[in-house]
Amino acid sequence: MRGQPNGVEDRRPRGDDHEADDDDEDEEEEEGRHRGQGPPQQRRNQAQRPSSGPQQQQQQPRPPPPLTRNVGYVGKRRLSAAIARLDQELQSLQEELDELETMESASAACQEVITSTEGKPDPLLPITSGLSILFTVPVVRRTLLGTGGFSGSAPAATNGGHQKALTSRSFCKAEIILISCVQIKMKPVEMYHPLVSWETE
Amino acid sequence: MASVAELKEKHAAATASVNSLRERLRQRRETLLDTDVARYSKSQGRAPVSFNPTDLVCCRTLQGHSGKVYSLDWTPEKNWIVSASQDGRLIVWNALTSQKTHAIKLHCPWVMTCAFAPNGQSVACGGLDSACSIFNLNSQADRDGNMPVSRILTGHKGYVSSCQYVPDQETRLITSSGDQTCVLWDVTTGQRISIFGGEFPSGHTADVQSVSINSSNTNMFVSGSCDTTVRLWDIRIASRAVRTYHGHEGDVNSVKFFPDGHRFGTGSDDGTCRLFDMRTGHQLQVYSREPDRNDNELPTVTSIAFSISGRLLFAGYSNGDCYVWDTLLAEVVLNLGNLQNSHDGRISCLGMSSDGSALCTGSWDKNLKIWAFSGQRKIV
Repeated sequence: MRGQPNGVEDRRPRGDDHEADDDDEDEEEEEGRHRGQGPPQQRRNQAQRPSSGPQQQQQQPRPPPPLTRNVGYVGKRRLSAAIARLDQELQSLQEELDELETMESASAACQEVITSTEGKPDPLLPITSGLSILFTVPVVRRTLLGTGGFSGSAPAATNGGHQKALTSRSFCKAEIILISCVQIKMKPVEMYHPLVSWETE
Repeated sequence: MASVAELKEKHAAATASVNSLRERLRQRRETLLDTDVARYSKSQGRAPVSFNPTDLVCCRTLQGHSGKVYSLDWTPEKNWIVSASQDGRLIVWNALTSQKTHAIKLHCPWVMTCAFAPNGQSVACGGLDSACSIFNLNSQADRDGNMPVSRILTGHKGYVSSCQYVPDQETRLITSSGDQTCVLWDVTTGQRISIFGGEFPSGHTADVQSVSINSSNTNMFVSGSCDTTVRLWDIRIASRAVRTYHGHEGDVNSVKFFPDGHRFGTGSDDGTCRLFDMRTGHQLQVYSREPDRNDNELPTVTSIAFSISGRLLFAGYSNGDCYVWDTLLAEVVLNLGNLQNSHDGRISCLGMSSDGSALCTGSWDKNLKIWAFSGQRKIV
């Protein structure tokens, strides 16, 4: 059995799965809350006033005074707050529109995406770059396979704030390699040797 | 104070102005979208990533939960994983050996999210209790064998949907919530440092489902919400969002920064993933799957992750698929859900190891699986 039926979506918080999960089926959403519609509106039930004759009117308790004044005050306050929010949103939308007048088009960003993905070693890619690898590990580790390596300390370098390490315990068929904290421009050496295989259990 | 009628008129006029300005913005943005990443990459002569059927394999299945897996997170070091499940437990796994190092029974079993602290010594989790609980993994279990909570972060008025520690800061954590806000916490004191959204006008207008902190600039994070938008926040300025990103047509379930820290990806109930440019707000690419031949409803995207270079975008779907998208060419190059040993249920969470050598997937089939490259690699 693969996957859940597509026709039934569960859009409630995942916690709702805890309640009825015996049959492992998705549940229909009952509230619009998580579609961004907000909590369900509360219904105001208004009791009907019973019709009565003159004698019964004398015996019935007087109805409470109308709450128009308080309800009106709350309504004004909420409306004013909503208007203030809209005014602030108008301001930020106008700022954004002004910004767009001088903004470059998407093609510039698309080029940056290409540039940022290429030249970066990626253990999950079948073809990847091994050149110009920048490390930011604060300590020096020794290569365990005697393939030559790097010793001594080196000044820490940063790569846009990243601190990533190709650790000695990799999941792919990989040589245990050393990392140092200098910028290295390597000849095209094979970083990954099928020496330590990740054996499937 | 003006009368209610006058205020209503003012409100209607302001609403009309906002809608008009939004439309102008949308049109102006459209004129700036002269291309997308796929068209541009093809014009630059880029070819899609080509996988052999056995290049990515499931090399570990982590079994132990007795309920659906909802969330997982890797340590930055040590290759440990923490997972949260419907069974009301957190399990900490040594992913290399598949051994469980900790099994933490939670006070509130309805957990939705979990995260590892940067030093790997603590884990955080949250859910329907509207709180975020912190456990120190070095703590001694009590008489009943339960691990004590070291801190509970209370203050949210709705469920905690997502949590992430600020990279390299053991004491700072960001949560997202069904109360439409995100919060930056000081874990040592349990205090809220900042609240993003809520009463402020530029906050989300519906439940927030996911956060992602920019590891290149940890002052910035993005949040994805059921209001279909993503918002960028500067943790130093909680009063308003830096930018709002429109495009999705359904709840945004997952957000993740692109490795370069200048873009981020999203996954949504509308069945698509998208790539946005953080600075300009441009929607650079839409990753849409082909409609089902049987005309079934489009599966939703539950979670996403990028490979370490960003060239691959992994997307988990509600029907058990786990598409591997070529980020540049916007093509599906592999479906982990079709491979041998794949999950039997919805993929609910994904996470990339810190060295980029393995992907972990969590599923409603109660298991976690680890996927790694197993083929012959060519280095250029």
